[in-house]
Amino acid sequence: MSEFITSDNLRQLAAEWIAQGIRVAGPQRAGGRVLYLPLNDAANLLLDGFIHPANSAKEFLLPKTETLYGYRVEGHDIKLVEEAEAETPQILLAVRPCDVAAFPFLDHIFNWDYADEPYNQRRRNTAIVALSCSTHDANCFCTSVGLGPASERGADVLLVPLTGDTLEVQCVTEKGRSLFAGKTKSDNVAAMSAAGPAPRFAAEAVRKFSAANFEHPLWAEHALACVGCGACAHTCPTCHCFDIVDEHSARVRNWDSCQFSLFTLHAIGHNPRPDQGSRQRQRILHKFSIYPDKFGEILCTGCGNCTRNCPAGLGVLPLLIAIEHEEHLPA
Amino acid sequence: MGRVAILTKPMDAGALVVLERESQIESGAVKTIPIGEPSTGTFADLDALLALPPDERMAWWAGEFSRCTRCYACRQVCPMCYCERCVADKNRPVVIDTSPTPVGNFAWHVTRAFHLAGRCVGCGACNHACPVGIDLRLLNMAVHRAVDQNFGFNVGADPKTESPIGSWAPADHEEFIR
Repeated sequence: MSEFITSDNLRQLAAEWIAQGIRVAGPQRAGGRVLYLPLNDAANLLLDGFIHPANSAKEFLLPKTETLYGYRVEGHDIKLVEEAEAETPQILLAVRPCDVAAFPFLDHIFNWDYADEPYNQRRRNTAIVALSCSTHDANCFCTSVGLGPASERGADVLLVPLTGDTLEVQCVTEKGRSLFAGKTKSDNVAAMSAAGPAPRFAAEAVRKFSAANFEHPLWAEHALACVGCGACAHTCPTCHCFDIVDEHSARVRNWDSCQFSLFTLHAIGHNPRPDQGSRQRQRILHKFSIYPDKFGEILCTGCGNCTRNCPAGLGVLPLLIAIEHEEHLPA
Repeated sequence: MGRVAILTKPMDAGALVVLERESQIESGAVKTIPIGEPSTGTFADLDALLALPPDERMAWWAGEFSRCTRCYACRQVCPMCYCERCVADKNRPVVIDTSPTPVGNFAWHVTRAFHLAGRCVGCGACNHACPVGIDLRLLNMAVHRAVDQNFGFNVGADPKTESPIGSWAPADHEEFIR
């Protein structure tokens, strides 16, 4: 027996959550794009007709800007002004599996050497309802990094669309079960998951090449078209690098990007990554070599957002395909 | 490198004119091969926005800017954004808040629009590049029209004409100087 819910009933349930004061976020239309945004009206929730929102869902656990603490200068003393963030429960709804699979990475990154309380507090208060994919585009490559269109990694619940407007509700955790208890109908039909994109490259070949070819001309050649913006990193579910600045008597944490020229600029003026070639290389190495060497997993979920959002059509996928091609060339 | 030829859409040809006016490329250094038709865009969207009361217009922009993450794709793809160190990247001291807060995002987008006064050629690259779909074109159109109305300046015409933002004439309006 499987559990089901209609899309109308799901929106009704979302409306109930919103009415209870729970912060609900999910895909909706804004500015001509589909974006994960806070859901004020459950009727705006999109459940189909899109491949992947232009942003990632990470901003609900790692906001693009957050105040860590305030400070006040009093004579020769500095007084810290700490205001605890309210414990607001939130539900991330209809999040693509490639976004959801990034949350266990963020959990690890924000706890492996230091427990990041602002992150952990939001994480404790968050339930994640994934929505499996019925289709994919040319930028998707989840199957090349060990995931798939119905991956439940990181999810409390996985929704799998059926024909018509019905979704199968697969509860993965107790947290997920409590969200949908009494809200579903049982039936014998099993949802069929869509086939994911055909594998695009071998991750092991990328790791091998990256580890051995730090100075390869491929990096600079590939980066010729890179304009040096942060669209790739800011819309990536796993990119998590941040900048800390002091603004208006507060210490603030903001998203950063390894593609920015300021990212590695030293105070004396030296920049160890002086061009886009070295910056693109860093982004590949971090995801496909450094992180796997350190923690045993690829730091990429194959969502394809870096390519979809790149003004120059780059992102990691074209480079990964080029790397694998290079790795397989006869020596 | 030999002489460079670029397939240019009408707006890109305008961008080359501005770059020549601002001494970024030498006259005749780039051969242009025109492609595509001139844009038939209108100011209808801007007029609709300007028809709103100021508080509603402000609220609309606040909503748009609330999605900005400061990825700077708008700046990086802009043919006119070539500053060696952008005002948004100045951090010793900071000039514009780098945080993607309401204050920081207003400061960034409005400063950029002002710096593009009489320089934006309306190519729309910023709109296309913005991952969160902010209609930056509207800001630039408003400034473009103000420059046109006050100075009768055609940004993409003769590179020898001086830019209103970089020149001065005794007949200039001075109402804003008190």
